[in-house]
Formats: sequence, C-alpha cells, structure tokens
Amino acid sequence: MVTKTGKSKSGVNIGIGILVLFFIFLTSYYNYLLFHSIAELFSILIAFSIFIIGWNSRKYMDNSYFLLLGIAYLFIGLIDLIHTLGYTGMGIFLGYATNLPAQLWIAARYLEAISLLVALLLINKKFGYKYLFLLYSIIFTLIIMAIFYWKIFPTCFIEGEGLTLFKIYSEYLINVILFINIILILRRRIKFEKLIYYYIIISIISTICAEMAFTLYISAYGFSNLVGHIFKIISFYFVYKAIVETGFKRPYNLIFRDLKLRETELVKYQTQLESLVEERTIKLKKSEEKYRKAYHRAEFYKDLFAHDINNILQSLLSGIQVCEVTLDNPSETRDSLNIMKTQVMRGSNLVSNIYNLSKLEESEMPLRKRAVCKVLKKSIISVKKIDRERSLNIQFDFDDDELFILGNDLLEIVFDNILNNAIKHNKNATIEIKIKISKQERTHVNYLKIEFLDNGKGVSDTRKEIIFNRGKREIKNIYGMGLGLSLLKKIIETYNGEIWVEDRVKGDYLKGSNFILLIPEVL
Amino acid sequence: MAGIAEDGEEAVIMFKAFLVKPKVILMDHRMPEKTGLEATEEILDLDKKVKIIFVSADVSIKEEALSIGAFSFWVKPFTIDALIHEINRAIESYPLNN
Repeated sequence: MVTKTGKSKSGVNIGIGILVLFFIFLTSYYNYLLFHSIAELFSILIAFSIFIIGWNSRKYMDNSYFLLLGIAYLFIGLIDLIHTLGYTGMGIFLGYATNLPAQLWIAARYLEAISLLVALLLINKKFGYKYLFLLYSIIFTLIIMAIFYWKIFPTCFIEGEGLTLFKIYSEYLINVILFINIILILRRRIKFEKLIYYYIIISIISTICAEMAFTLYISAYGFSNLVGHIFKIISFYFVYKAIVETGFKRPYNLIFRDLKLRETELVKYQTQLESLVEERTIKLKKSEEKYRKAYHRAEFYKDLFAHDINNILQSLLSGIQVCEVTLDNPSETRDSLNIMKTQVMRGSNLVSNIYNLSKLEESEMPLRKRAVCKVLKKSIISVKKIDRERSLNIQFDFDDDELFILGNDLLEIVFDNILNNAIKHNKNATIEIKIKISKQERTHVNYLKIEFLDNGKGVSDTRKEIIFNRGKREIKNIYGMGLGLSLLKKIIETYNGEIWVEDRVKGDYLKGSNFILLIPEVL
Repeated sequence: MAGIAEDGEEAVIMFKAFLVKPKVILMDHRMPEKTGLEATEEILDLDKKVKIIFVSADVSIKEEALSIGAFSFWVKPFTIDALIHEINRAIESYPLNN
C-alpha cells in the first residue's frame, strides 16, 4: 500500500534521480570519458552490490535465483570495469582501439541477458554456490582469453567503418533474449514481490532501449552511444531498486519471499481451519444440546417410571394384604395371594435394579470407606425381618468393624441381593447360609474375601459364568430377573473387585452354592 | 391415628392445629401444594421430637430426606407388616418426657 507520504517520497526520489541523471548527462559536454566512467562505475558498483546480496543470501533461499544473479553480476561488473578502463581515450590498454570496449560490452551484455534467462528458467532449482562460482569464473576467463590472448572474439567495431554486423545482430539477439526474460518474469510473477517484479521489468526494458541505441552509434563518443549509456544508468538504477535497496531495506521481500509466501499460505489455511473449527463447534454444540435434551427426557421418563410403577405396586401389595385379612376363605386363596405378592416384589426389585444400574453407569455414586461387617449385619437383620414359613439360619461370626473397602450405598444392595437369592432358590425346610470373611493377597494388593455358602439348589457348571451376564434369556428363571446378578457384578467391578460362584461342596452343585466376593481392602 | 392430610400444606396446617402433637408421621413426597421434604422441614422446625417416616416411591430423595431429619425412609412397595414394625420402632424411640 502506498501512502500519501510514500507517494511524495517516491516523487522526491524520482525528482532527484532525474536531476542526477541530468548532471551526469551534462558531464558528457565537459568530458565524454568522464561521463562514460561515471555511468559505468555506477552500474559496476550496483553489479558488485548485487553480488554481495546474492552471495550472503545463499543459505536462506530455497532456490539459486539471487545467488546465480549475484555471481553473474560480479563477473558482468568485472567485464564492464575492464570495458571502462579500456574505453577509447583511457590510454590503459594500448594497441586496442574502439573494438576492445565494444567486444567487452557485447560479452558483458550476452552474459547479462543469458544469466537472467537461465536464472528465470531454473528459478525453482538450487545449485551449489561453489559450482556456480567456478562456472562463471571459467566463462569470464574464457571471454578475457578470447579477447586479449587468443584474439578470437569476433570484431565488433572497425575504425572508419563503424559497427560490424556481428555487433549489430548480437545487440538484436541480446534484445530477443531480454524480451524472452520479460515473458518469463510475467509467467513467474508469483515468485517476486510486486514492486521488485515491476523494477526488473523496467530495468530489462531500459536495457533493450540501451541495446537498440548501441546498434546505431558510429563513434564511441557519439550521441546514440550517449543515449545508450543513459538507458544503461536507468536500467541499473532499477536493478539497484529491485535487488540492492530491497535486499537492505526489506530483506524479507527479497530473500525470504518464499518464506513469506508460505506464511501467507499458512495464514490462509489457518483462517480456513478456524472457520472449519467454528462450523464444527456449532454443529457439536447443536448435537450436544440434542443429546442433553434426550438425556433429560430419558431421566424424566426413568424417574417417572420408577416412581409411578412403585406406587402401582404398593397399591397392589396393600390390596393383596387386605384380602389376606378380610377374605372369608383365606386358605383357598392363600396360594394365589402369595404368588401375587411374590410378583409384586419381583416387579419392585426389577424397578430398583434398573434404577441402580442406570445410576451406576452414570457414575453418580462416588466411592467412600465402608465398614463391611457393619453393612453385612444390617443386611442380615433386614433379611431376617421378612416373615417366612420356613426357618432361616444365617451364620456370621465375624465381629470386626475395622474391615473396610472403598464402596458406596449400593453395597447394601449387593449383600441384600445375595442373601435374598440364596433364600429364594432354596426349597429346604431350613434355609442355611454361612458367611465367611478372610483376607487374600494378589499381585501385592490386599483383598477381603467374603463368601456366602448356602444349602440351596446350586448353580450348574454350564451356568456359573452366564448368570452374571445381562440379557441372557435362559438364566431368567434361575437367579434374579436376568438383571440382579449382572447389577451385582457391575457394582463390585466399580469397587475394583470380582464376584463369582462356586459349589459349596466341590464337584456337587446340588449341595448348594458359594457366592464369593473379592474386594480390595482399604485401611 | 391423629389424621390424614391430602397434601404437604394440609399436613403442616393440621400439625400446627393439634394440641397434642402426633408422635409419628407417615410422609409421602410427591404431593400437590407442598412436597414431603418441604413439609418435613417445616414440621421438624415446629417440633424436633416428631418421628417422620418417609414412605415414597421416589428413591432419589432418600439421602435428602434422612439429612433433613426424617426417622427413616421406606421405598414403595412395602408390606403392611414391615410398616407396622417400623411405626412401632419409631414410637419406641420417641422421647418419654414429652
């Protein structure tokens, strides 16, 4: 972006440039050699500056464009220096007339045009700087040898006749190469920062103009020669702006352009990513909201179900109990009433189990230290309270209230379930249940082993595993409702414990079961 | 039996009206006007000695009921015998010097 200050600064610079150019032009009237020397030295200094920048940027660039140009301009500058020193009238290279500077000029311009072209064609490549320097050293040496030693370089100027055809056609050929350069730059403009790109184009156009002027001169001091050098000054001025000034003032635009491009790409991708993230976040929030509503709906129906079903069951149970008391022939209906009562309690257990399972799966019950014997005694008391026709004998001699595990309120349900199951699946006149507690160590962890031995109908080997698995239809009539034991297993697993069943008498399951809990002890 | 209230609000009004306060109250939870928990809090504020046995189908309020001072919490369904047993237990635990 060019600001007002930037615009006025550019205007001042252009003004100064034109003024300087005018003064240089004026020197030609004083002394043409002075003008020529100033003009050439200006371009030589810029050429050497390009070398310094290109050479020092070689480590930071992904390609060798500026390195190649830098090395090329070093040797172009050297040839131009020899051209300046050997110019007609300088009196340094004796025995050489106008042909020498013309030959050196053409050599330098060929080297410049071809170097620009090669650098553009191979803009994405990277070459070793040593090889490039060696190559240009060889080319420079060959040119100098061809002109000064072997004297095989084509004649460019004949005294009294003027420019040779070789010189003139060479200028045209150089212009063609420069024109191709312009086309290539236009195609590869993305590689250049906008201002640099414009400066290079203007520089090449100025060089083309200079070359055209140099096809017309008759004398080394002639007007077209003067015009050609003016255009050369302009050309090198824009090369200075493109490479030297940018290299010092805005190196990132020159040397780190690739990095800057990648940074721009990165910013673009970052913006796209942010937009994608925002879009996905909105979608996620919407589905989170949907899930939350579905969850609350499920919670609501679960609570409603549990509450209302329990109320219904209460009414049924109360009605049954009233019938027991008020019916005329209670003995005839006793069996039916008992069945109805049993079914009501089974329904109640199912509701309770589902409710507890859902709470467990939601991890809503944090663990805390529980005194195992205390909880067991409570369960035993509660189970014994239920009136039964058969006698119940629960043997539990452990009286250590200092045995602890990490559990929760569901521990009561575990013990209640195991005891009730042992009673329910026992057809003996006397129901016997023996509870044992012992300690066991396993992989450096201390466990409490709680065993419930009963004299019930037992669990066959084929069913020992599957009774703890939820959803198995075949186990519904054996223990629990298909849900009770799976709930117990889930509860014990949240305590990092295990539950399994063995035979009370090993090898004879019909003698009763031994339900075993193994839960890590805490002190 | 001292009386039956239709809802929590009526339970509190009746309790205030009684000259001889009941020793044991059977409290449901989900009732119109005032819930069992709200009524329990108000009644216990009036008389800390009364034994409130929560009888509810809503097991989720058990912890809260016990924490605000309920004597016990019974989840429906339960047998009449169990209820009678619990009422006797509550009466036995009622302070003698009333």
